[in-house]
Parts: sequence; C-alpha cells; structure tokens
Amino acid sequence: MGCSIEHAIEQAIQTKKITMQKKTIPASALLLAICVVILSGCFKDTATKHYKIYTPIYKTKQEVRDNIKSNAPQAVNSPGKMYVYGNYIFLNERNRGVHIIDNSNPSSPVNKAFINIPGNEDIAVKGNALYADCYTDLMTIDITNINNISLKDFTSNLFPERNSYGGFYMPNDKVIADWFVKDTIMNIEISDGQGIWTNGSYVTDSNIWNLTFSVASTSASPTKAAGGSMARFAIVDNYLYTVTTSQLKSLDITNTNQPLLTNTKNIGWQIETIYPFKNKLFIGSQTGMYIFDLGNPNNPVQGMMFGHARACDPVIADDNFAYVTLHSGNSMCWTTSNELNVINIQNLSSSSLTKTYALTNPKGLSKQGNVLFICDGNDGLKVFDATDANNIVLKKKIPMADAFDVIALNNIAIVSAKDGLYQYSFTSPNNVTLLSKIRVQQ
Amino acid sequence: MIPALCFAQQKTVIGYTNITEAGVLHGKSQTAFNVQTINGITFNQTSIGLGVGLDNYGYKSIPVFIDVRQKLGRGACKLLVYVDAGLNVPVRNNDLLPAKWDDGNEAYRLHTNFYGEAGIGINNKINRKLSLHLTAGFSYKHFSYTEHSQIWYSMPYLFSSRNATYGYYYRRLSVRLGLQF
Repeated sequence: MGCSIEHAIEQAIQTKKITMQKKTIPASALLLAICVVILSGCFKDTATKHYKIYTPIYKTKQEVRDNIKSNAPQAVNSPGKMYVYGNYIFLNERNRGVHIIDNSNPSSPVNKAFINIPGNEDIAVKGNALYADCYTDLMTIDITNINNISLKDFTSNLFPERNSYGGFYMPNDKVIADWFVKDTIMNIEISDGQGIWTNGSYVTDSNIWNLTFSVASTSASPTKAAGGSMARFAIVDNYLYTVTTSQLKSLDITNTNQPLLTNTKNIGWQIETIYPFKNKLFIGSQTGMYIFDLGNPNNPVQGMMFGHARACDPVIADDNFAYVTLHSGNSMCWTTSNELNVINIQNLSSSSLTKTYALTNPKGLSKQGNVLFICDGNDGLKVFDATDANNIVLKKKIPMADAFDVIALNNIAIVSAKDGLYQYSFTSPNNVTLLSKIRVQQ
Repeated sequence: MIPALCFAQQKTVIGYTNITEAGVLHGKSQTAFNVQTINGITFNQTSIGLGVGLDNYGYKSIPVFIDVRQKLGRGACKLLVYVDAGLNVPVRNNDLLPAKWDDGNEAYRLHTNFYGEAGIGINNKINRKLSLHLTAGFSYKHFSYTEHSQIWYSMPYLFSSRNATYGYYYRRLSVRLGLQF
C-alpha cells in the first residue's frame, strides 16, 4: 500500500511537470511573437556621412595683385616645390603662396616672409625677380628687398587651363583666394538590400598642420640657383620656359621685370615637368621624355624622345644619362610602374634605355656628382651611388613622410616632404648628415 | 573549467557555462547568418559571460560583448531574458576599397564601435547539463570607416587630401537557436 501511495505521488508530480511545460511553451512563444511584432518598427538601418564642405571665397585679380608684398612669415602647412637662389630657399605653399626662407646658415634656416599668391604652384628666380604662377597668370615680383617685396608685372592668361580649381570655375577677373569650411553631417539613405552604400560628394582642400622649427648641426650654404625636378618652370640664361599640359612657352626675361612671351609650341600631351641642363630642356610627360635643343633659345627644337608606358615621370640629366622616375598614382598616373629608368643620352639621335631599377613610389630626384637622391614616397629619401649607371646602388634610406622633391646643390640636399623641409649635407653616398628640419606638426 | 561550488547555507551553485548559438539577423538591408559563442559563469538562474561572434550583416564584423542572461520560472522550460553590450570589430575587407592607393597612402580606416542586443527566449532543459533555447531580440551594431581620398588639382603631382567618415547604424531582428551547457 505504501508503495502504491509513493508511486501515485510520483506520477502526480510528473503529470504536473508535463502540464506546466505544455502551458509554458505556448505562452513563451506567444510572448516572443508579440515582442517581434511590437519591435518590427524599430528594425531599420540608417547611415551618416561626416565631412567638410569647402566653399570658395573669391577675390578680384586686382585685389590679389595689390596684396603681393612681404607679409609676416607663416607656418608651413603644405610644402610643395622649391627654388634655391643664393642664400634663399623659396618654398611653395601649395596653392597659397611662397615662403621665403633665409638659408645663410642651413643648420638654422629662418622663415623670413610670406607672399600671398592664390593658386601658386610653380616658382623660379633670376636676379631680383621671382616668377610665380597665380592660376592662369604669371606674376613677376621684385625681391630686391625681402622686407619690401612688390609686384612688378603680370602676364595674363599664360596658363589658360588653370581657370578652375577642384571643379569650381573662376571668372576672368576673379580667383579663388580662400575657402569657407563647414563641418557637415549628412544622412544617407540605405536602400533595401544595400547594406553599404557610399555617396561621394565634392569636398576640397588639405589637412592643416602647425609648423615648429627644429635644428640639428652646422655646415655650408648653397650659392647657385636651382629648381627641383618636379618644376614646370625653368630658367636658362635670359629665358623663362614654362610647360602646360600640352605646350612649351618661351618668355624673354632679358628685362627681368617684364617677361615677354615670344614663343608657344604644342609639344604633345600630358606634359608634366621641365628640367634644364646645359643648353637642353628635358621635358617629362606621361608618355615619355623629350629633349629640346636651345641652340636658338627663343625656339626650342625637339630632338629625341624616349617613350615609356603611361606614367608620371620627372626627369633630370647629367652629361651622359637622363634619369627618369616613373610612379603610379590614382587616376592621374595610370600605370602601376614604380621605377627609375636610366637612359643613355650620349648620342642624342639614338638614345637607349640603359637599365631599370624598381622603386616604391618615386617622385622628385636630384644628382650631384655620383650621388643620386630620389624621393620615394612613403619610403622616404633614398641615397644612391650612381658611379656606374648599370649598377646604381642604394646606400642609405632616410625615413620621412611622403618625400616629394629634392634639390642637391653644393653638397646640400634640400628635401620637401609632407612632414617638413629637410636639409642634409653630403660628401658621398655613405656620408649624409641631417643639418636641419623645418617640421610640419600635425 | 571552473569547478562547481556549493554553498549549503545560501544554496547558490556557481559553475562554468557555454552558450553557442546560430541564427539569422534580419533587417532592411539584408538577412544574414550569425553565429556566436559565450563563455562564462552561471549562478542560480543567472549567467554572465564573454561572447564573441561572427556578424555578416551589412559589413562583416566580430562582435565582442558581455552577455547577461536570466531564466525566469520553474521547471524544465523557462522564459529567458538577455542583454548584450560590447564592441563591433569590423573585419578588413578589400572589397570595400583598395587598402592603399597606388602611391602607397592608406585608402581607408575601419573603426570599432558599439554593439548591443536585448531579447527574450525560451530555454528548455534537455538533461541535467544541457539545455536548448530559442531567442529573439533587437540587435544593434554601429559600423564606420573613414575614407581618405585625393583630389588632383594640378597635373599630376599636386593634390589635396580629403577625409569623409561614413557611419552605418544597423537595427535588426535576431533569431537564434542555441545550446547551453
């Protein structure tokens, strides 16, 4: 009897458990379903885009010309091309103007003044005249007294293709002088079935850094004039030569304060750089290197052309060889090649490729004696022994952010890089010493 | 493995637990597969653990989160409520953009953001150690990346850099089947 009672109690407990389960499962499932229905309105995806909108601020060309003067020195935000003349380095501030740096002591360069030139990209100096582009126009600036700079002349519409910047066209009498910046958050629609959708919109301008100066040790100073390999201006004797994307222009600067356009030549397409060497102009384009003879300086005559696959290529030369760097770079440079081409130019009627050297992303280059400097993108500055063109040997790699251009002159290498302006003294490829750095600080 | 501890006075049992779940995430953008595993401790009817998963919704990511669950009721079949909070770690995928531009500069940067979820479910005990559960909840993840672009304004070397940050806020229904031991 006792066993029967226990058995009955056990059965009753089991039955109750099963009954409770049967009630719990439907109730829970119902609760789940109710929650799903209630929350269904919350199941949506949204997106935002956070960026800066830049709106151009225009000034009349007359206002810009009236403001060509010695302004107080400014921080270097975005160093571009350089020109060395005497004891001065003229450093382009991309699209904004020119820094004038007293380099009497390369171990302690002094930022002396700034010239506001909207749209400025290229510079060249002869005597007391600084030539600088201002979008479509060429400015001739008197730099006799660095503290009292003035505009001497301007040549209108010398670079007609530069009448726009970043998609904004400029009327004939105005230029973009600055930008109004607005932080913006935009809501982006996510369409059904599209988890990620990007909607590009146009914004411009660069990041801004502050400048501080930093020095290392002591040495000599450059005395000659020189532009970098990335230049589109070149001065040979009494002529200023400039290249646009398709033309070579010759300007007589016998009167340095009044350049006179004397010749315009169509020379191809996608022309990029110009480098003078002795009585020749070496012109880099996306399809190859041209050599123009300056027997008649007013009328440069094309000699040989060395073709290559489409790429961006600055070029320099010495007595026997031309050195051309090819680099890839988004949609402008097309190719994936990143290399140095050494071309034998001893016989200009039949040039030939001597050798190709693989690099990372080379841009500007310069050579003094057997020391070859190449700005190799984020790989920094590379120093080569170029004694034997068939066996150019890397001797040193100097880290710096996105090295852009270099000028080697009087045993000083001046490098324009994203993180500053460097100066190195050198006596051989193995002996390269930092003199100073004008630091760009984020 | 954390040994089970028995406190006779409080009748609290603390032990190791693992929850492994698989299911789907359904929202406006898509319906995507999801799997996750949580390791932690359980005491009474509560469990707390550290979870990691694979979330294929929108942009593939790995959620890493703290999971807290509470079973309610008595018997083998209980109501379950849970909440998760943690980080959404995106998995780098070059289908989004090339990793670097041709000049070697970084094209984009992914960011780690918030991940969270809350929901309810049914937990059904299969045997002394193992239980099966079905959950449904509201799942949220924030994905963002910054795109570094270059505008070429002068042939061919001079350009301006521009950055734009895109943020995606995904709000999904999650339905998962899981095992806990």
